[in-house]
Amino acid sequence: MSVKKIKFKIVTPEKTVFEDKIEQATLPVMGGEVTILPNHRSYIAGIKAGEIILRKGEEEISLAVAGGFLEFANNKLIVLADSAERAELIDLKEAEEARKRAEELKKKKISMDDAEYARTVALIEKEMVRVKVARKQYRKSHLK
Amino acid sequence: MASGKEIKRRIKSIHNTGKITRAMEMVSAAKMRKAVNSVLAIRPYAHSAWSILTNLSRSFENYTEGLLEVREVKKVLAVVITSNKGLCGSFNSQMVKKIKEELQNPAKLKINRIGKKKIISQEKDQDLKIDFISIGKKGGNIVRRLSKNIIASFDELTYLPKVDDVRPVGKIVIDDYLAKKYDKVVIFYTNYVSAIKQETRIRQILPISKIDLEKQIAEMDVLAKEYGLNEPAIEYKIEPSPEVILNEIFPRIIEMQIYHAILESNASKESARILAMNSATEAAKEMADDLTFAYNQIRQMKITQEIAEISAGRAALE
Repeated sequence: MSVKKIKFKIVTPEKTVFEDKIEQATLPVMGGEVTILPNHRSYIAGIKAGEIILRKGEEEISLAVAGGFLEFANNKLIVLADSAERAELIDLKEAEEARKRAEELKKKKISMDDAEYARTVALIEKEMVRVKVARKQYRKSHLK
Repeated sequence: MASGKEIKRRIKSIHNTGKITRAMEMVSAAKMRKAVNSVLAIRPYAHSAWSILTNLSRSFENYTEGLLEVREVKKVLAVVITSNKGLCGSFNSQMVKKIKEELQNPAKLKINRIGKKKIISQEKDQDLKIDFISIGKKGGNIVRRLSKNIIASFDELTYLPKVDDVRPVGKIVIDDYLAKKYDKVVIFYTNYVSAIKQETRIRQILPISKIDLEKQIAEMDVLAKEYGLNEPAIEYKIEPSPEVILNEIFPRIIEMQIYHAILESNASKESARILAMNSATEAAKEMADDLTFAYNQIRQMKITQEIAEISAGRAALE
């Protein structure tokens, strides 16, 4: 008997980042972290910047995501993200530099209105997650 | 008949025009590739967002406030997307036609429909107030000529904007709807079908509805079948709370719809321009060929005449 699977799809305004059948997904939602298994009840939630971990057989797939939301219904999981990247595709050095740039941006702009401040903070969060996910991936691939 | 010199000058100027149109064609070809790629990239996102939005709005059927409030249509806000410059074939004139049609017969604009609810406005056609937001200068001109009110114009958004750039448009739309200034918000844009086919479309942005504006006046049972309105709504567990989702996700998706419409129009505009410039270049070539032919005829005639004169002179001497 075949195991039930989840049809997973993550899209951003720029592209469809990843699409596959998986067995399990762990996502950073607004209230904490959620793991979705097949036959989970229909679910909609906001996503914050963080790491998405998917399990497909023995394989573990990691993605860095920055804000968005998810819909799960009838074993179909759709994540609409502002931006998302596969962990193995993030260049660790580049990500660290981008994070530094984002933090400097915050220091430089001392007087910001609320909207701009929120955007800068979101940018920093996004870059921090990218660095974190990339580091983890780096360690994992060097342990093998 | 025009003199040889005059024709020569015209040939030269037509050649120059041909060069310009060919250059514009090539520029548009490069721009189009980018614009089309961005449209193809955003489509999956927009479609998923749209389906989540409509599924979600059904689980919010009991909410009748804010963005989900359905009112009798008295004032409509229309966002019109056109280009800043002309020379793109029928791209803008199609839009003019569509806007005029809708203004003359606003039956579609007068119905507000969400799920199975349907409210037909009792306003007379001429009393229905329609205000515009124009994106692109050409659209602004059309609206001004029709002596309608423009509440905002965003002319810098016409080529590959970023999502952030669209935020102000979304904010106006959402704020004015919430303030009950408008009872319905629609967007006029050009849908990119292929490099040679684009269609002008209207889409309802607010109130949020799954039903295409084009089909607003169709019978209920037809719609129910097509859009699955008879199927039970999926009961979602919503986290952290329905209110948060309402305030976070809905504005985002509405912005995304506007952004998507702009990208579609963008791709359509560049494709229309390529076609228009291509035929202009062809026409210039043809015209130059015709004129060269005429010029050669005149030149030939002159030579023949000169020879005739010389030989006549010689005959007179003998």
